[in-house]
Amino acid sequence: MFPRAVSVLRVAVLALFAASLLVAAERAARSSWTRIAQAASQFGVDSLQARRQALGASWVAAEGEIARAIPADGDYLLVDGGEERQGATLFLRYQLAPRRARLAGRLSEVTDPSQWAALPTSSRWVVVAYPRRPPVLVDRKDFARWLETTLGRH
Amino acid sequence: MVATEALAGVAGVALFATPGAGLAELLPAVRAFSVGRRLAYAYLLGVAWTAGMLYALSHFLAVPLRPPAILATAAAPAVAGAVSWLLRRRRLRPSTPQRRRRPWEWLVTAVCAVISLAVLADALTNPVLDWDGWMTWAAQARYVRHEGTVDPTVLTQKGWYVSHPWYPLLLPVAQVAVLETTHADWDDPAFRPFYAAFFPVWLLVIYGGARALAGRTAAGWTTLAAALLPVPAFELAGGAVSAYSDLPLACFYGGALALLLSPRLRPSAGLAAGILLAAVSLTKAEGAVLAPAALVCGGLYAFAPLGQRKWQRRWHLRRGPLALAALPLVLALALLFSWRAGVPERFESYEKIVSWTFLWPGILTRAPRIASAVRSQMASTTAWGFFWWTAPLVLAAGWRGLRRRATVPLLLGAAAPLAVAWISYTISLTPEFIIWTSWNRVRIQASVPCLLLLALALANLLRVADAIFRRPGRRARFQTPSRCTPA
Repeated sequence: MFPRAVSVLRVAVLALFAASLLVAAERAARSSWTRIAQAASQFGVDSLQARRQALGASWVAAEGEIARAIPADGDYLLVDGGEERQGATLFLRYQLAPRRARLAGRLSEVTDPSQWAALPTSSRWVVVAYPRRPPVLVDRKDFARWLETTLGRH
Repeated sequence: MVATEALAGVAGVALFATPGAGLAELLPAVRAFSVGRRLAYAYLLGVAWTAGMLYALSHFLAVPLRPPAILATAAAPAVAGAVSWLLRRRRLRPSTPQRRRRPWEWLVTAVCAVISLAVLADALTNPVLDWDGWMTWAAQARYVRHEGTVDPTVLTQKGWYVSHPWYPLLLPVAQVAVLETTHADWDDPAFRPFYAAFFPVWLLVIYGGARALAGRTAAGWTTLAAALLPVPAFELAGGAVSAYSDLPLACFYGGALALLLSPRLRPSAGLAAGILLAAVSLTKAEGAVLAPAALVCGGLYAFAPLGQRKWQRRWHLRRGPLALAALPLVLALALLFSWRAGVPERFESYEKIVSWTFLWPGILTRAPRIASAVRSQMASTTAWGFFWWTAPLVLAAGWRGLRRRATVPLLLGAAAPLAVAWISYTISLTPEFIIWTSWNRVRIQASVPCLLLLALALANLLRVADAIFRRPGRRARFQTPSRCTPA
């Protein structure tokens, strides 16, 4: 009697596992359908349009403008306009690669760009990365003035 | 998606599947697999060979990562495999008819195919939207592609803003191979199907390994459970729809383990496992630990609780194939350390976020804090459904199925990624944050050995269920493969 009861209990565990698969199947079906339907509706949309839809037209336009200004083998100083964990610099660095970046610091901590003497003078451009906002391109020699007008710093 | 971009993405997958098919033909142990399992191993071997060779050629011989080198590297095993097939075709005997699939097997195949199609659809429709893709893998690929070398100036000179410059570059090199061969633009996501293809490969590796260990029915249940998990398929932070390296690592690691735990380890299986272990060490930083761990697991298989003479004989039979498995791994580690020696700021990013002084006694004192954060991750039904609620029950109820020679090596194989992660959490300055961002990915890395253990337990439960519900006089339906006798 006892071994039979144990066997039934083990089969019950199997049934529970099968039930969990059924629950998971409903969710997997929804996730799959969403993606397949999206792909079908987006047929004919090229990768540039897809980026505009995902990142925003103004963001893609700003990034394109920066990419045209800085040559592919060029470099730039990157300023983080958000918090480190928001990852705005990481995202922008990827979008602008293979252009090489040097991290100049966070915008809230940049009080005096003349302290950037340690950074090589070869970098003509400063790019400010913001979370959820298009990036901004500033000529390095104009950056102090840009800071004053944008942030009201002295 | 437009048709030309979709075609470029599919061509990127073929770039690795074709040389892999050649290698699968040249390695008798892989050639003997069923079609699905052979395809999966062909893809993994193709990525390991093509990207691994390009990595070595670029670093040691300064060969530019451009179409001539990429196509020659991919063509060599493809041509050799084709010649071998032509020569062998004369001696081929008509194949024995395969057992017909049952309706439930078609159902499992259909579910896996639909989810794989959805993953591919996502890859073809959306740009890279995941954190590690931006931060590390796809960014490094752009630098490597621009300079045509695995030693670009952003890595070999100090001062550039690069995340984790010491992370190995196998997958970025594979991305470069796809983009260069298809002449893709800089912002073209043609490499994304290359990542998406790892999802069906992962399912086929699980099915093949589970079928060899636990039989068709248990393998079907296990593969279905794996396919329905939300994280490996659709999670943006590490799933197949992302450009993270964890699912590829799981495929290489799990595929090698499954090969090394075959009862009769053939030399060609050892070599195939070695090629996959080389890829493990070049895919992610932790791979340099996981690959030797997998090799140790393969060695432990000989030391089952048997009489001394038996394990001595078994070890004698396995040591040759294991040596063949070690050879590509040693070469890959030599490449990794040589390449890393040229990266001046190789550990700086980690030195800011870890402190080895926490290791002792932190490995004990921090354990409750880490365990609590891990538990909350695993209990998330959004990420894992009810899998982590029911799988331990299955393992406990089907424990008799775990009395196999493969169990201890599989347990160690499943524990190795978790141990690496646990140590990194212990020495981290912000363990909760690191656990939050990485624990699900660690589970993916350990997924194949975990699911193979689940298959063994499921096989036992299915036998019990069959015995209860079978009508008197009817033959038992669920049997484990005869070659996998209990230890």
